[in-house]
Amino acid sequence: MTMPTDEYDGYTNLAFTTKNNRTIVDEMYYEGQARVSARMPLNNEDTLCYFLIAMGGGLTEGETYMTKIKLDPNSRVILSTQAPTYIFKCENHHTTTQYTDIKLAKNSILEYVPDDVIPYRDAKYDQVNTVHMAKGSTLIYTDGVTAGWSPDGKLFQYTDVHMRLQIYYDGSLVYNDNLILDPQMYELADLGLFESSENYTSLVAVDERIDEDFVHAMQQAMQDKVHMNMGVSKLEGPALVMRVLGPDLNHNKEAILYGVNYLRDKLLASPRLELRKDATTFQNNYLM
Amino acid sequence: MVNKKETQTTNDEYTQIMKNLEVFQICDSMFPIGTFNHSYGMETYLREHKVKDNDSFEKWLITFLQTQFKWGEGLAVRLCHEALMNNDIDKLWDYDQKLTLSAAAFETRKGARLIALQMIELILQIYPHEKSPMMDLIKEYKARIDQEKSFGNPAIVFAMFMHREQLPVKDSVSYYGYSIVTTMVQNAVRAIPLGQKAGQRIMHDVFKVLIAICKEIFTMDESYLGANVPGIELAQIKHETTTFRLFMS
Repeated sequence: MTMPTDEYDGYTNLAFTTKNNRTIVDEMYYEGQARVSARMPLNNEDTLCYFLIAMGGGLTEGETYMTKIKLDPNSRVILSTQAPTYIFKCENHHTTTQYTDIKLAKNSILEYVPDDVIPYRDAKYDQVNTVHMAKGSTLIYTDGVTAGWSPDGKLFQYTDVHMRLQIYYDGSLVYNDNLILDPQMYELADLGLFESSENYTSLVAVDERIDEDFVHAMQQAMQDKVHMNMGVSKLEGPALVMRVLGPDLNHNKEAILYGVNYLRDKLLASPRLELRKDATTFQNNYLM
Repeated sequence: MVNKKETQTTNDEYTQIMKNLEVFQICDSMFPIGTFNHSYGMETYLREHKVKDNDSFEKWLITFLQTQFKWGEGLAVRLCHEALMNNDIDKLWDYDQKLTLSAAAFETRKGARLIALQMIELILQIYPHEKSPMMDLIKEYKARIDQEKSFGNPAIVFAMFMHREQLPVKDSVSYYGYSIVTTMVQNAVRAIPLGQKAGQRIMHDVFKVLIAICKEIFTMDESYLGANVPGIELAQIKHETTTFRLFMS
């Protein structure tokens, strides 16, 4: 989807490159309701890290956001959000849409680990994420959606949520994830859907070294530690997926981070991911 | 003396009946293409005691049909049969790819490929001397799967066969659904276990749901192809690491 940047309610363009073997920002542009944090310092590594921000605390009815992310060869970045993505009520039946286009050049590494989506009562939300990866690049990607928020505390009060992820590796489609959550048609708490869980989280990893043996080892490691409704499977190409159906944001985040950290250890020789998301850090780093 | 015109009519009728019999054969749960080896994730729920009796099985089956089946193989039969009617063969290979790459569970993709190959083999054995564009296409699909140009999905083979039989697309989609329902019921009768009569009652109940799903399939565009819901898919993923298994998926 292409339209002039100012026709989006929030538009972000982020590009990273390398200079003297260090990753630097090549382009950082945002307009409308979109912002990008200052560089987030991390406790135990010096990987470049930024938070994507939607002003106003969430996405309002009918808004369209576009985020473009590009990594040049050998660059490495962590991108997250500063808080969950709240999708506000869409009482006039206009869908709120978020597009994310990611391009990873050879030997670049992107960890895209946003907080979960929390759709409010009557929210209509479409998420369309597309990733193009050159051979030899690495992606660690998470996303999640909760049973939503409603003033009366009832679950699954949103109108509908549609989340798509397409990953192309070395020119071929390797994964076409297409999640439809439609509480108008389905009892989402039931067997086969959320199964009494309130949070669904997904981790996808793509890296040349991921093969069947890698996946079997990760299945074992996850089973030993994550005692939740959880599974790991191999995708086509050098890719895997981990899925968690769990009770709440904190439990799911813990489980999925266990998966992320396993991958960081095995593939990137990186320490545990520690994104400092407490209120103080946010206030200190947010305004530029 | 027999009226010649009447004989012709009778022969036409029997030609149609013969076609029906051929369709019955391929839709039968006994058609040995290995579907009895696949539970589509149901076995995970069986191990977790979430599917354990008539009601819980029927509930699982309906949810499976209304989600993964509807957006997946159900929609694929329609799209492929329509593409065949428009002689747009490249679309079949696109659908094969899109449908397969939408499945997160390794076993689901592997199972579909195995069933597709066995279905092709069996059709080629049943119709060894037939020379027709459709048989050529079925052979081409097999070659593509062997050469890893396509992944293989039984819904696509089925659409090819139904096109050969000149059936309307609506019939194709409904009959494919029927073949899935009968197989799943037979699997449940064996594995849960359910009574044979209870299985037949469930099957008949589910037909109403199936017809509603088929109607819906004709209102969807191809952007829905391969869509899914969390639990059904997670159960298929988890099946891979289930230790005691009756089914391959």
